[in-house]
Amino acid sequence: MTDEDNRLSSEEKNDHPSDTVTSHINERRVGLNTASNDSSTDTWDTIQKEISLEPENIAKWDSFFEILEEKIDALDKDEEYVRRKDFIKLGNEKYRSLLSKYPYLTSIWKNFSIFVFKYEGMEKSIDILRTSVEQFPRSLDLWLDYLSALITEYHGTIEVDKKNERKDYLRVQFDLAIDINGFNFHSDPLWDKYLEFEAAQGQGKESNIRYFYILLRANKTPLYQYARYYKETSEINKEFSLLDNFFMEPDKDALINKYLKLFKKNTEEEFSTVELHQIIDDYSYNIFLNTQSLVNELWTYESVLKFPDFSFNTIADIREESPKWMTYIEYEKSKYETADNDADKKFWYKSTISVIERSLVPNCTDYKFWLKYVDFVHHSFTTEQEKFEELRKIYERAIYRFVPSDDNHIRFHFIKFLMFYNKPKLALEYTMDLMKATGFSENKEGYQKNDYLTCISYALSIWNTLLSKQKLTEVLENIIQRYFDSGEKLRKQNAREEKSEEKESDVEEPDIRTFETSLNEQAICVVVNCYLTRLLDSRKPSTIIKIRKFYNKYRAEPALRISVKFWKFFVDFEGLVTHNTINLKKIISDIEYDTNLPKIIVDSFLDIARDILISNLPSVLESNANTGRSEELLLTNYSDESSSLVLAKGWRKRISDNNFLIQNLEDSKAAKQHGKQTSNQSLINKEDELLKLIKSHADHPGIPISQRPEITNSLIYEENWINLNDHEVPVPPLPSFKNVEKASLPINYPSET
Amino acid sequence: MQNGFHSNQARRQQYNYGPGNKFSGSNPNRFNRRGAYGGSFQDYRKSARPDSYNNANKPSYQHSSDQQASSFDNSNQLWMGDLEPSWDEKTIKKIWQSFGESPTSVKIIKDKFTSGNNKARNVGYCFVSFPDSNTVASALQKNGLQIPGSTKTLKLNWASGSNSLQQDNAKQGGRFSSKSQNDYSIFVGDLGMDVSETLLFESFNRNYPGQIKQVKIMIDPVTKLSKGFGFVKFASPHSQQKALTEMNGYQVGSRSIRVGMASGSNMSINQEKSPYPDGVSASQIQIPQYQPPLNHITDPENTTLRVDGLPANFTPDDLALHFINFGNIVHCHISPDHSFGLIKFLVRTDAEKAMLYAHGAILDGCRVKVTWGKNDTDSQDATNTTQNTTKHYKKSSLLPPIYGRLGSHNIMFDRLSPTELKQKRSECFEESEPMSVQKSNQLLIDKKNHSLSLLDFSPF
Repeated sequence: MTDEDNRLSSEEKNDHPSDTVTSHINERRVGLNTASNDSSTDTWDTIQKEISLEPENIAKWDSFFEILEEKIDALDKDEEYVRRKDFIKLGNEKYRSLLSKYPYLTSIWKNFSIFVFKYEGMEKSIDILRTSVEQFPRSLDLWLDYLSALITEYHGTIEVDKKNERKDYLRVQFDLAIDINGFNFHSDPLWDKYLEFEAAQGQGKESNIRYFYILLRANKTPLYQYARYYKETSEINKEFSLLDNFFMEPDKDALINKYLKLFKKNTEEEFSTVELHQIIDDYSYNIFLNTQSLVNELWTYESVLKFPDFSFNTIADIREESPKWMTYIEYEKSKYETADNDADKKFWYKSTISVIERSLVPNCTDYKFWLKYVDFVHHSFTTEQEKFEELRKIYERAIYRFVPSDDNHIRFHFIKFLMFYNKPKLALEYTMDLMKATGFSENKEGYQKNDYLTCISYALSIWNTLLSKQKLTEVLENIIQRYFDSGEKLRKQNAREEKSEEKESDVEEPDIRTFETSLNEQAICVVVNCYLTRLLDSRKPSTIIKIRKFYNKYRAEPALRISVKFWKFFVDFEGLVTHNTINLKKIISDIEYDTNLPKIIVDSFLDIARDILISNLPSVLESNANTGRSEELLLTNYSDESSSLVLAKGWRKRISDNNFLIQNLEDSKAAKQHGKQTSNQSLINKEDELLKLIKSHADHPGIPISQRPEITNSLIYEENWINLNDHEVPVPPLPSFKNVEKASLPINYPSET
Repeated sequence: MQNGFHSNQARRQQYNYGPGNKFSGSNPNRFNRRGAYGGSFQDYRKSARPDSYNNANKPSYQHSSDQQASSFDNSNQLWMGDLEPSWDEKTIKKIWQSFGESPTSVKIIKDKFTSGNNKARNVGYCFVSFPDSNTVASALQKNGLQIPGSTKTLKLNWASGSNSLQQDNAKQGGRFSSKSQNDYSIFVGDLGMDVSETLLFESFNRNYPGQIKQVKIMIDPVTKLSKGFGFVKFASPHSQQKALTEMNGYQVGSRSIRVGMASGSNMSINQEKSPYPDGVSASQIQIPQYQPPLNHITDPENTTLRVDGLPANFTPDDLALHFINFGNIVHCHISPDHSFGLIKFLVRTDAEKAMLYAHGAILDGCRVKVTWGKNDTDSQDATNTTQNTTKHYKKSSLLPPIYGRLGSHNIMFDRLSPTELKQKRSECFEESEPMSVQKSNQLLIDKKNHSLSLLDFSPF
């Protein structure tokens, strides 16, 4: 990369708004008193509505703040002080709420600080900038603004003591900024600013050496403008001692010894000035070469990144770019893993973190990047305790700030992470929170069924570690009993009453109660499954009886009729644990005829059951020995799974039992016959009705035709045989028809909805 | 002798209309005859009176000779059906009087076999004549009204052409004076629903000023909507011929029209509107069959189903689970407000099966309705903006055909990545073709694995 390149790119970067806060204000149009009151209230109301409707439309927010400023400017400073103050307060609140939701919106932070500068003064505006770099520490822009503001403040100070204090503070801030962002490939403006600041401190020896040290640090960092720093270093480095030049080296003595050997000298003092210059040139050139090769390597990754900022307008582009970030991170990671000494490890650790953090600016909503971050830190060299805190911070940033609530991958990872570090109580607490967030409630949209059910099973598994087996089984048994055996109100009352009776345990009662009240029909299935597995674990004959009793008691519950887990448990239980083929067949026929499971699920059950039966054929036949019949389930073979209603008996029954059209028909029949009905027998043959219903749709589903035209005196009709031996065959009558009129009516298409 | 001959003639004539005729399906007279008692074939087809079919094999019609003798103008006549067998002329007149109309005559069609005795029963319909077209019109308004003192309703139809043609009929002195010398009509088809007779007249009159004698658009008696075709009557054969060549593709209303020779020139307009007049084979006139407007319900290539009334806790995965057994699913999602779900199948027959079997199902206690859905882009528009609901329906395009099966089980395309999709496609196989043992084993294992994974990974 030549100097020309550098110049060009520095020109490009001129549009970085890096100067003082005041310069921005001058650019902006201040005050507009012309708008008449009426129209301004109108626009004010509309814009307020618009931002509440589209909280992600940044352009709308911008114009909102613009109008707000106009309004404030229109008010007289002295006379309408209170109203003015209210508006300023409103602006503050709006900025803060927007930025707390989207802290990576650089331009909003900037406007906020200008807003505050304009109406509340320099000091407050610096506070805002400080908050901005705290909230968004990876933003070079914000750091530059903040530091510029601090420098302006510093220059404006007259008292010597205060000035020195501010100078020290500034240096701390500069070091902090360099520490966080120094590895950013494009961080040269920050380095420049630091150098510029130190250069402005006069020509004293101390400030000279500071300046030189910063330069050396910059020199070692792979930056876009690395060549410039080398050039400047090589111009001044001979003014400093060898040790000063070796400032960045961890082992200065070894380096000096190397050069002593090279020049065949015994002590440092023997180096002549020319030799010293040679050494310094050689050393800094080596650094330069090293940095150059690094920059070239990084350039392949850096050059393809076009969207380093978070923005709502470029979401698609950012998504497209995320694999490029990923490969970049992978590269950095491999560099870290292959580094063979501590210094290199540290270097690459910082560098990798820098890249990951930078990638997390545009991709902050993507849980994959956060997991990548977690993964990297998890495999890094830090100690376990440090790691836990570090990881927890990363997780919490992701979970509470950035990853949208409908994407819960990382949240479940967090629970696993807490369990990994043996913090079950924290994990349970968080799981309960997540359960509430994903669960179903009437006045809340966004029930995330799968996530909610996963939460339930996580909570159960956490309890498993917290409670004794006995206790957990008891708790679950109570929950299930209360759920099924009484109405919802009763259930809650019971929960309250029994609360006092239950003994203390590791799980706090309120937890169980909140857990219980948040259960729904699917969740109870998960609980039932957990309970049954728990029972089965003990493998005592008494528990087997208990499990079977459970089946008999609850199998007709509507919630369990649609629960795959429940039926799967019993198929496994009878088929694989107790090897009771009679019971297995009973369960399978219950599944086939009495549930409302999707066909594909029932077919899968049939498939499994058949496999089990075939593998245990001798015992199956033995159990059939008394009846003298062979096994029907095996004989019907695959017809049960057929997609023909005629063949698949079970399916036919399931469909006709669970069809409301047929139910309506039955109800209306029953209504007509009220009182006369004596037995419980169904008045209609549901399966026949189903077939009739389907027949009326045949060939044109969706358009039922109740009447089909028919020939009523068909020639081939019952006993209307024609004797071919007769010479005089009686002339058959002309055909007569029925339903011709109805069939030729215009088709009644369902109305569009 | 004379008498004998005459009576013979008469008998033969009688006979001609009698049993000998009953198999004469190809005899054009049959149409004439049917026309003679007032209904053109067209009318007959439209209203499809079931009894007239039954009558077709009845040996004779008692009224046949009456018809010849009858002098009343049947243009002011209405067909009235669905009669009680016991009703006679008087009863029917009374019925009409109770409606405030006074028919000039009532002609009941009687069963020939029972006509001998006085208590002849009618065959279920009759013809009612009215003094003028206005009364006919007002009488026709009463179609569908309950008949006092009976469970039946009035069932009426034109016995002849509609009343706008009466004057022509009158001029021609009889409907079936088949050829009239000054009648030059053309058939006009492909008319839009928005085309009225006035508009049609204006369009033709602009091009042939003063040449248009009459226009007629055929109206479906049941839907009261245009049937999409009509006739234009010209004053001269010259303009008729010109229009035949010039007006094809001419824009009337929203669509361009199609013109054709109605049924040869000089055909009476009454017969023209009948698709099968004497001497003209059906193929000569093409009357477009009524086609319903194209929408998601009528589109024969639509494979998208709309599922209404889903349980509140249903996810797209749950929905797909209930439908995947019917066939491969292209995509499946639930509207943002959870009011309905959309499932697009790969193949139409699968979608049809799903509709047949899943309509009316009760899922998780909710009553589910399955109808044809709009395809994807349409529905998104509809849910995003309300003004787009009236958007014109776009015919769904056929999906690329896949010959054979894609694997051991049905798949959901929207859950696969592009590379997986490609792989699936390359693995496509035809079941009827011979297969290696290895492959068939693999399929079986795949199927079992899939079943197990379905059961094991079910969330509840």
